[in-house]
Amino acid sequence: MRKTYELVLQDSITKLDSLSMQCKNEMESWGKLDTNVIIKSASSLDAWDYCFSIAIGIAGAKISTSEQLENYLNDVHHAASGATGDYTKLQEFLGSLLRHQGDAIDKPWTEKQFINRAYEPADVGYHRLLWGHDIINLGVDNPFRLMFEQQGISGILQAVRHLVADTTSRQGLPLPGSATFDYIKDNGKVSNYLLELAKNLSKESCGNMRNAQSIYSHMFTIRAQDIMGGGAIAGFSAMYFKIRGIQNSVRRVQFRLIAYSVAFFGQAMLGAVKQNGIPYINIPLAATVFKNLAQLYYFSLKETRELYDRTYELIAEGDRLSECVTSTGEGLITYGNASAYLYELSQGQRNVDSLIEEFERRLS
Amino acid sequence: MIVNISKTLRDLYKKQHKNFDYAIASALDNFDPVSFVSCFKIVNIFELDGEKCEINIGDELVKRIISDLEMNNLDDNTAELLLWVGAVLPEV
Repeated sequence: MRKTYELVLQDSITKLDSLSMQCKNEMESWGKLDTNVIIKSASSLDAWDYCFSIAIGIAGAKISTSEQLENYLNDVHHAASGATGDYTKLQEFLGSLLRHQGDAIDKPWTEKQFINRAYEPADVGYHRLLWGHDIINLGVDNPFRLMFEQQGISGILQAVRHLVADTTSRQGLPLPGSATFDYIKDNGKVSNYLLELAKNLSKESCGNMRNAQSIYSHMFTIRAQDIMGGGAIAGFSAMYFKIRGIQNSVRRVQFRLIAYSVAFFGQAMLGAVKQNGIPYINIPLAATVFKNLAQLYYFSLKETRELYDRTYELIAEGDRLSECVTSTGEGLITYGNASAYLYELSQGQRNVDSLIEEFERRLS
Repeated sequence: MIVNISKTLRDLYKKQHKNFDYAIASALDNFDPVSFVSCFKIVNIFELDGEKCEINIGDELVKRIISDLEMNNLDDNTAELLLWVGAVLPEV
């Protein structure tokens, strides 16, 4: 009997040693986390999505930089300004829709020539930047205020027509807030930092101010052609989603983000080639890229939040199960140290021995 | 109003996709009428000869030119001088 007891005891100690070793190995492995084992989240886009988003982006950049379209839109502006010329029916129609002549936005009726905000003669070719075209300027030359004073309530609509028409011009409409960059030059005349920056960039890129107009137009104005490039991307993307039946919001945003980014950077590169290293900056497209980036961030944040909530649900479920297991074993005797368990084992063996002795005594 | 101008000048406008009326209006909007005297003197130095052609200038613009420059009527030479001034102005 004594031998059986020793064998059982030895077996238990061997098993405990093995368990202890396994625990040690497991705990050591916690410090060596292999990040490659983590499964990367799969992209929502497939190969066709990548191809078409890039192709649509290139088409958008092409539209925004097309000289043919620029001339076509410029003729719309000519027609809207009341200049005679050979126009197509559509140009004539758009011209009549956006007609603007003698508006105080260009110059007050008291003036014969373009002026700046200090009522001095404006720098040739930059009259829009220097007077009446900044929609968020709260000064006396706010376009809506000027047109209201000139034509009354209908002047507000005329201001909208005029400003929209100016986006079709070669130069475009100055960015809202441009007036805040006004400053007084050394000669006492009012100018604008955006204009000076364009002139300086032109000097740096080609040694003279020949490109200043083009740099200013493609960097600090809103042009219908730029908006059309972005609009084409939106249209083509919508068609693609419809044809392929794409409903997933994240996938749509990722697709559009690629298309708009390709168009924005493509246009910038084409501009840099044309302007000796100075890129075209399509402000409406940049705003759209930013909007899509913000949307993607929002969707990612939403998914992370859902994962976070689900993880906490699982933790709560784990806690509940653990509590359940603990309550099941509440009836079991527990000891504070290992020797007490070994003592219980030997005590059990002694009980069995005494039971066997009792049976043997009765049988004899 | 139909005016006769240098064919070279007309071709220059075509090449630059500029509009006759818009260019002249831009010149009138940007310069004081007095400064046109010196502008015309400079342009006249070039002695623009060669083949002539007809172009159309809007009647409203013609009225404005006559009024702003205090003239009795618009002749071919003045129209051409104005168009040369307009040609060098940036298209906005």
